[in-house]
Amino acid sequence: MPSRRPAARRHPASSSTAGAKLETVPNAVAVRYCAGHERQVRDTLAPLGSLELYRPQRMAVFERAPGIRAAPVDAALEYLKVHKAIDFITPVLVERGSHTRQVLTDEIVLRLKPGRTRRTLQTLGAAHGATISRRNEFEPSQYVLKVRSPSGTRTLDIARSLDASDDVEFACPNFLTGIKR
Amino acid sequence: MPHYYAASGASIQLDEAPDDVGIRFGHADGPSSARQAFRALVPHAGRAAPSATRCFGRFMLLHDAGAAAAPVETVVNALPAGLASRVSRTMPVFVERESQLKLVATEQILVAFKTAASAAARRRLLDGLGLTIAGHSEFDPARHVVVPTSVRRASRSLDLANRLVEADDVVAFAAPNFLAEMRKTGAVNDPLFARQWHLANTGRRGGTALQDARALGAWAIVGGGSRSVVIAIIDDGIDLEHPDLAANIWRNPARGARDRHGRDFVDDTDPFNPRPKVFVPPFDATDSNDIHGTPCAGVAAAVGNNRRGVSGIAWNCRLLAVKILAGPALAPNDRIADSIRYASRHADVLSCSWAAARHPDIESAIRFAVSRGRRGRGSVVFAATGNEFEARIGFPSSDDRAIAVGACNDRGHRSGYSNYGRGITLVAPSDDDRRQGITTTDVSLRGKGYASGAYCDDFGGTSSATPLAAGVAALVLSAHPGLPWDEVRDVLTSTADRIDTAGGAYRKGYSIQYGFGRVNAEAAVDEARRRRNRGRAARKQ
Repeated sequence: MPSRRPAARRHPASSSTAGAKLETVPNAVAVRYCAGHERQVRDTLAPLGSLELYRPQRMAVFERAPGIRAAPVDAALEYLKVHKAIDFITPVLVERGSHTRQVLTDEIVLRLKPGRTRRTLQTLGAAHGATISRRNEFEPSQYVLKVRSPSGTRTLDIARSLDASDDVEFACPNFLTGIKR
Repeated sequence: MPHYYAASGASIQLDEAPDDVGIRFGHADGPSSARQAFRALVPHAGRAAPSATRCFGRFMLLHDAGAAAAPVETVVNALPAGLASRVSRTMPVFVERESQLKLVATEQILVAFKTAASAAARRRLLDGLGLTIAGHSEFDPARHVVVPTSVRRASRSLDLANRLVEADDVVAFAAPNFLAEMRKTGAVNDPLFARQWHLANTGRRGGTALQDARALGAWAIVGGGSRSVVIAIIDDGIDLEHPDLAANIWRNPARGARDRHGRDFVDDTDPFNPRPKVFVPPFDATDSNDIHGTPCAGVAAAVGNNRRGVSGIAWNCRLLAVKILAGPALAPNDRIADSIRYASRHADVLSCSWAAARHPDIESAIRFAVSRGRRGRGSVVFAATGNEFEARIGFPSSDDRAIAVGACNDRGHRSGYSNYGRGITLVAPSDDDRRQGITTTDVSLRGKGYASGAYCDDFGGTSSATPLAAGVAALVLSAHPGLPWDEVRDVLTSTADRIDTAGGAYRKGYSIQYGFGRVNAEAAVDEARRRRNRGRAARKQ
């Protein structure tokens, strides 16, 4: 009997990207590893599937190999969490139109509407469990927020909520995005 | 009958051009009289009039229109006495076999005698051939102009010159003083240029002649472009030390600037070094190595006319390296967006040979580039449509403000892989299945890159088409630096070649497979120049 592919969950990225519909990539997750733990993460996960490291942000994208069951992967991820080798685990998404991967991180790109101040943003962020990480070098009203406890789709959910705010021009997860060359 | 003349010990082969004849008008008739005489000649020739003429002072080259025309010599011989008297001489025309350029054999022969040859020996030789010295070079008195003493020998200058060459104890050099056709092509001397069919397709290797970006014609107008025009290659870095790129790499004019040649938006530990950095075996795999930006840079602006490697289409413009990728094909959205904003701060044209998922920050960055780049005139943003065989184009090429570039092959058809669909703006020459690839620069580090050396000949995809179109925009801005970004787009689309008219299903000049057609550098630069001149004339009034 052919194995049934897990159904992909659908998420709108934000109202600003109304055309961008996202689906979860089955059997794939992204983890942010802690400084100095790259090797431990690699040694633990690589035997269970493919592992792609994105070093500038200490992110690793893991995809379970065919024939490997979910239980040992879950155990391996739990082991890394307990040993403080990874900060968080997020799903790997794919944009339906372009089929490009969108890896959720703990960051949100947000631009304030004219007249709003940094204080407005601090209040907004605090209400959503996010803090200001940095201001954009080129666009003074644009910021990157960091989400506390970003595991799962929490970053996506918070971005959608911020995007709906009257003070915000747009808010969208700062995905680690797949680029086709 | 084969003809030849001697040059540096070699025989230059000539073929007769039977449909052409050279005419020399009398001494009293200047260039304008020659044109008047030709205009007078046409009604006499009736439908058999020669169709093409070129004037060179008192000389004129006449050419048969085709099957309907009488041999041009017949037309000249049939001139009424009044006109015929103004024609002092008709001269045979040859085609030089290698260059296919025309040579009109005048009655003059250029001669240099050997210094050891006595005056008596020289005179004996000239007298024997019925020649006499008519003058000598202003700059080299040892070079003489000789002419036949009788009119009957005037059409035999080629044969007489070769007879002089045979007297090698007296003559150092002799050749007809041809009236030589010159091709104002601006062709470059780079040794791999002959393989760069995307710039000048001669029909070799299975390609179709002239199915190219019409670079030669553009170069004849603006050369390789202006040094002040900068093209940003937003990719995985540029090999800044590449021998065919180094001289064209942008240098930040701001004193003390840390971004001397560009920026790396990926590597926070080394952000002002936009060179390729990640190399993982196999070293020719695009998705895990920083080897993609260097060929893109070469297509746009490899140094031309330097007797080395290849030429970019905008070979005198400069390149700004902006790095957004390092090995794996992943990048944070905000870094991609900021790389576009940064590029528009310094570059006139942005080339993005990649596609990603749509994102509001990247959309905002493109708006930033077209509104704030070039001091408000807007940087021109080019993006690849993608290589997925799909009937939809990728992002950011789908953005309204970007110029979406697809690929076509060396026969003037869409490359099979090239994404197309609503929003495609143009196509530009690139590779295709079983067709020629693109010869360009490659990462010059030993063993790294698509090929083993500093050049590769199998680059392609919409990745190659995009910097080619971007380079054409750089030439357009060289011809007319004041054009706003959307007018550059208008120039490119209004002058594009509607290729594959049968398969392209163009409606009102637009095809969802080809957009407005294949970019035509010559026509685009010509149009830009025309608009500049029109603007100047309007300001004077």
